[in-house]
Amino acid sequence: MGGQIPTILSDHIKLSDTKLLIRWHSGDESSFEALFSRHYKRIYTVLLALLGNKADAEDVAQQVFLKLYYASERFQTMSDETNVAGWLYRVAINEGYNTLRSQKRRTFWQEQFARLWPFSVSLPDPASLAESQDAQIKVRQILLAMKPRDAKLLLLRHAGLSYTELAIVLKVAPGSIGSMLTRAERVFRDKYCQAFLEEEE
Amino acid sequence: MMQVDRGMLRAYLDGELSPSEMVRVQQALANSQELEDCLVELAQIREKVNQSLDSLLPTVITTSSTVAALKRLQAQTEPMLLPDNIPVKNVSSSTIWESPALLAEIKSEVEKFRYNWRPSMSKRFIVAIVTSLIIIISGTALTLWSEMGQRVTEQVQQVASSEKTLYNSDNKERLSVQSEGNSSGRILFQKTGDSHMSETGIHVINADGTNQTRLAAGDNPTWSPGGQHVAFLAPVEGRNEIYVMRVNEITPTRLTYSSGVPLKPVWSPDGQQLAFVVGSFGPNSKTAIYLINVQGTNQVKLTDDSALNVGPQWSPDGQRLVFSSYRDNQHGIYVINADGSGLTKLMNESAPGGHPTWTPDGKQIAYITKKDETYNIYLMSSTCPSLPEECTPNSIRLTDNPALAKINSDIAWSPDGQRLAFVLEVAGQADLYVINIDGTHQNRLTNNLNVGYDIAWSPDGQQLAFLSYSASKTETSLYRINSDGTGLIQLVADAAGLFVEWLPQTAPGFPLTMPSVASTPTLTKTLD
Repeated sequence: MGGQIPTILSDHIKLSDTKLLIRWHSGDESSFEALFSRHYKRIYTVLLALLGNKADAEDVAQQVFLKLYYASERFQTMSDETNVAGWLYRVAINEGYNTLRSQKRRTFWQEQFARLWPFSVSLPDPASLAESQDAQIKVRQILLAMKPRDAKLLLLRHAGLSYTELAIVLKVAPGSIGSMLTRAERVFRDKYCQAFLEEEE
Repeated sequence: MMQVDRGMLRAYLDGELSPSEMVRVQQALANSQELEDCLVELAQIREKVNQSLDSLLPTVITTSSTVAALKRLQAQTEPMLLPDNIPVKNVSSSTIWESPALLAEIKSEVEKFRYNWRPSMSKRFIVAIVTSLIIIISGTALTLWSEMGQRVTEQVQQVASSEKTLYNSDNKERLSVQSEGNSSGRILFQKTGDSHMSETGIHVINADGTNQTRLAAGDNPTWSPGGQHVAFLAPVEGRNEIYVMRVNEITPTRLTYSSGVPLKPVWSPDGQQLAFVVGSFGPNSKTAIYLINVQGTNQVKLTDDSALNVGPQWSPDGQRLVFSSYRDNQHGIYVINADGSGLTKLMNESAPGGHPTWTPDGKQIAYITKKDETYNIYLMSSTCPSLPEECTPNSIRLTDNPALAKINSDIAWSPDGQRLAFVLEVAGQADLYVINIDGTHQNRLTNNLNVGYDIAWSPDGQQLAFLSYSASKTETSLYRINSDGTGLIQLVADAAGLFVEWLPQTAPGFPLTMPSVASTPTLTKTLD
């Protein structure tokens, strides 16, 4: 890989994901760049919502495309072009979810690091957390407390994936998405109310 | 009447139905007030969930541009790419000769070979061909591997001699590494990991990589100088308190009731007392340093809590402590007598100075300062020649680090006090370094290993144990290396936590097989 990044990929716009992968495999680097440009921003946005900070979202998005880069041989035989996007979202939401779980542990690391450089490490002060941040944390906690598949469904639907895309990413029948969403949203609302009830106590 | 379920209603709301299904739902809605109420309810829930999820995203989404992200990706893939543009197979060197893919390749080549050649061919010739095939394939694999620039494995490869099999907690495979087999003593560390909750906690492993044992739930473990106790932190109602475990006992004793000990306690040289910090960190945090006897008696507040006071370290004679503090908008290094008298400010510079440690002879104090965004280690006298309350002793810069280099660790003195080990981050690469006390021979021991914060010298001063963290900075592996940079060994893969101490073999220790200790909640219940 390398060389100049083409500013206009007009040649590639018409091509499907699968065709781009095939072209890339035959040595056309710019086809991978076109794939990247096509999907990066949406993948990043899903991850940003899930993880809540730019650095983590960029890191995980990077991992997702690295995986595509090294796993792309698998796609050579693929016929359904939506599968590339489906694969990307599946990897992104899974990796993002794992990262969210490990964020807790990283906070611990940062606290420990503060013993070396208490002057240079800025840690969030729980008392001074903005209210919006507080709400964000609550929403993420609720998502983590839900069944992973339900949480992933809500996040991906919120990111604008169609029922067909959701079905591919989550490996379920398209006809079941509606009822899955209904159930997941109800669980989310219940947990949300519960969280605020507990706060009042 | 056609059947319409909630899932269909939900899909109708999202405009995800086929035209015929849509008509069906519309007809059903026209005929049923209940169904319409249901639809309204679903829409309300959808709206509320969407609002909650909206709150996860900032109003303006900022990202480095897609082009910047692509460049970053390309930078990451470039060195791993072979000239012919084939994605590199991920072969780790420790298993390179056992790689199933490679074996399959060799086998298939051999099969082809059998098929193509007549049975009359001489056996010796076949052997010669097969051997050369294996050499060629192995050679290719080696090239692949070296192209990948896997510095960890390169270093592991340098180590010769006897083979030892260690447990790789990551992939549940036996990981084959080579060991020099001349390490003695035991290494104390803290194991983390979501997937192995039963293993989370304080562990001890022989320095040769054998006999890993879990001691207790908790973190920040530290062994007393005489080896009679381990002190560690465990949460009580969400705040850490100090627990102490005696050798050969399995029930830890809770020492503090102080509503929060955030950092590892520090043993006095005689093993009778612990110094610890109480408080929490934040923009305006105020913490105090306390002392307590190992029996849990005589807790005294050594410093006030009007400022940030951290990093207490005992002088080798146990009479004084040095610590760093941020008072009156200034960073300083202070010395105080263990009885609370004689507070003296030793350093007062605009640059933040931190993590002071005594030289083993107690005459000097080493500390780290950041000047012009570059971190260096300095030495200064531990006594004040002129004014008793405040002085700025002459300090000597020990390290000569490149611009923007950052020290990411404790300063670790070798047992003979002649060398210091530390972690230096240069251009994003954190590695282990050793330097002589006279400032000569600053050597980098590791090569881009993402070395973590804790370092421990072996009791004989020949080796060091350290942690290497993963790219996500959420996992660490425990390594051992000779102090001349040879003999790198991975002792524990992943989930090795943050804390490392190396204990002499002669120190009284825990029994080799510990009964499993109850998890923390039970532990606190028993002891409260």
